[in-house]
Amino acid sequence: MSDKSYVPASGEQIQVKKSADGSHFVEGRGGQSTHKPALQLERIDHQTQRVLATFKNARRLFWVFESRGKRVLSWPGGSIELDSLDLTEGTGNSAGKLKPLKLTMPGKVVAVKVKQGDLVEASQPLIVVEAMKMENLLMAPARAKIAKVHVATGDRLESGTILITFEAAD
Amino acid sequence: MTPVYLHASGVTLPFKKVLIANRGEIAVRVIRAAKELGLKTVAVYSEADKNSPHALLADEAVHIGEAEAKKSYLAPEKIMAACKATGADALHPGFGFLSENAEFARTCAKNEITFIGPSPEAMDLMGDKLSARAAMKKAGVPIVPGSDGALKDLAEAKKVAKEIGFPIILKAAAGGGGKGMRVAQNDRELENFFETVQREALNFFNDGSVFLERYAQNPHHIEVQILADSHGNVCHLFERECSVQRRHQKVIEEAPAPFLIGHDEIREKLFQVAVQGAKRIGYVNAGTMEFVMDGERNFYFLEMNTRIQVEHPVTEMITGIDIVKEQILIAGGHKLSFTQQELKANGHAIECRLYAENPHTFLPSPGPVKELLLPGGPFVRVDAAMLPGQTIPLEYDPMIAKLCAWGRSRQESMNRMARALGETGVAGCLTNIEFLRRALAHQVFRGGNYTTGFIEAEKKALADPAALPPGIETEEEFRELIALLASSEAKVPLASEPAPWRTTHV
Repeated sequence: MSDKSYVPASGEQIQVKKSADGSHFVEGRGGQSTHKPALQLERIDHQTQRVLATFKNARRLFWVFESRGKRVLSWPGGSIELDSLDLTEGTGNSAGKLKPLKLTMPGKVVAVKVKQGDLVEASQPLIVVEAMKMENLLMAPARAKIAKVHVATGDRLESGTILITFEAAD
Repeated sequence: MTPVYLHASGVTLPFKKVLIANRGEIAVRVIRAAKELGLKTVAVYSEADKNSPHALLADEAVHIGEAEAKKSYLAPEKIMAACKATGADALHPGFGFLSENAEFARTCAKNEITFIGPSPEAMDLMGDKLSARAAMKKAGVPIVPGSDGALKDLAEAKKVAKEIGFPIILKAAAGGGGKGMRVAQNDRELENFFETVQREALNFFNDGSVFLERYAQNPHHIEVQILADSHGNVCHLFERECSVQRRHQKVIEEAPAPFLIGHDEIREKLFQVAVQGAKRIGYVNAGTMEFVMDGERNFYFLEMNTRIQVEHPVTEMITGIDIVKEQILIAGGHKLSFTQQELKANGHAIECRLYAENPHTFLPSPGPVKELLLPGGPFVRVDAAMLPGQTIPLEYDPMIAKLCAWGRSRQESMNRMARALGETGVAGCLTNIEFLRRALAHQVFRGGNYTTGFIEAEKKALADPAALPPGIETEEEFRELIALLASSEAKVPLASEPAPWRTTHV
């Protein structure tokens, strides 16, 4: 089986690996070849949707479930709707140049609503990605022209995949 | 002569089987008190409550109809039929539903069923806001400045409004539950709303009488718990503050009132006035006098609730008195089991209402409660309305549980409550746990001087969707977790070994 990799906000490559006992962990933070897992999922119970995670020195219980059509992550003390999170990163308009739209979690492209050369306004829907069994509408970060669409409907994507690149609108 | 039964608890009462005409955590609460007194208990349940804890806990349970409250918990004839079928000779109405319906109390009496609550006359008197105002005024209880009796027409409304000053609130005399109420800031708004409120009053409450009161912007909500027996003894069980509200609904309650800490003279005056009000109307059983209090700690009578209240546990925690048990004993003709001098307010208690709701919009979000992790430990009380595996019915209040924490000081009770909330987990639906934790940690709440405007004013801080799970410090770490959860390979089926944590207790 192949290990998964994805790119968090810091830009470094992170490997999701499977260990001999079947658990999963993330390693390779900060580019160091440390084998100490930063995050490890020990058990997942499909029926109750329980997840036991070891995070650094803490052990945490989580539940992942769907509520009223939205994916929710909850834990003792709180919960969060996952689709209220921004699934993309690096889309800020810094130094006058628009960064490419990237995915920060694995997903599948459900629909692409724009094509190369299109002029888009801020918040205009660009692409629909299914992640965590939820559809997520990704929108234009600012007024821009589509330089290239790098993915197509039906593509299964890894975290860190570049979806769309932009160029200045004028 | 009415029969008297000696129960295994050592208590004698003129009834032996109590039917609880309610559901959820209050039905469970009443069943507990009745069982401790050695009484037999009967639950009634609707189609939606087949697996609800109250139906499973009572000695007998009677299915009384469809999920819609009008066809079950609000249908007097169905509840009377359940009494007949089981031979229940007493009835506790809980709160909401038929608890403040004087006609229902009369029906019980006609059928020789002891209604555990005040007399129908007291319910009538305090149920109508105008007669309640008049009665309290006569009893020397300060009332909110407003019209004496129903307003004849708009001209009179304008005249009274001018006298007491804007903003004013127009209210339906027979109203309640936030319906038939409008705030007017000026003459123009008063003109606009007058007929609307009249119409609402007629449509919702079958009585077009409308009156107006001065409207206090963001007051404190302070209430006094009363217990009175049929021998003329009236005691107060100190006060509660319920100023953490949204959409006129209480979310966090405390006893004693943090706003009155260090103001014992005002507290004593409040208690004296509340007891006097209850005495003058000959009130019997448990009741609550609600007051609004302004920033200068002037207080005015708002209304009297002629029933047990949701937030009664905080009073029980500071007094050590089982209010529901006292209600049953009072209904059985007993004297209060304590005197005013014997009552002491000991320490501090806080209650948080755990709801299945969207923590950002406050809209109900009922669904399945797949897992329910409830807190424990010393001086933490949980009154749960749900069992794990149950689905929260759409038809009723989406409450999951009431969580209470007692401490020797307010500080200790806040810290304990925060600790307890951190242990509380629900899988299957959205809850307000996070919201409660933030409210409790908010400096305005911790400071103890918060008004009914607190949630609205601090909405942004309290409903922040960007909170991270404990132990996860950065968004980057959080994304790692989510990515890991999302990767399909991570879904390793659990082997045969059992889960190492416990999930149930009610």
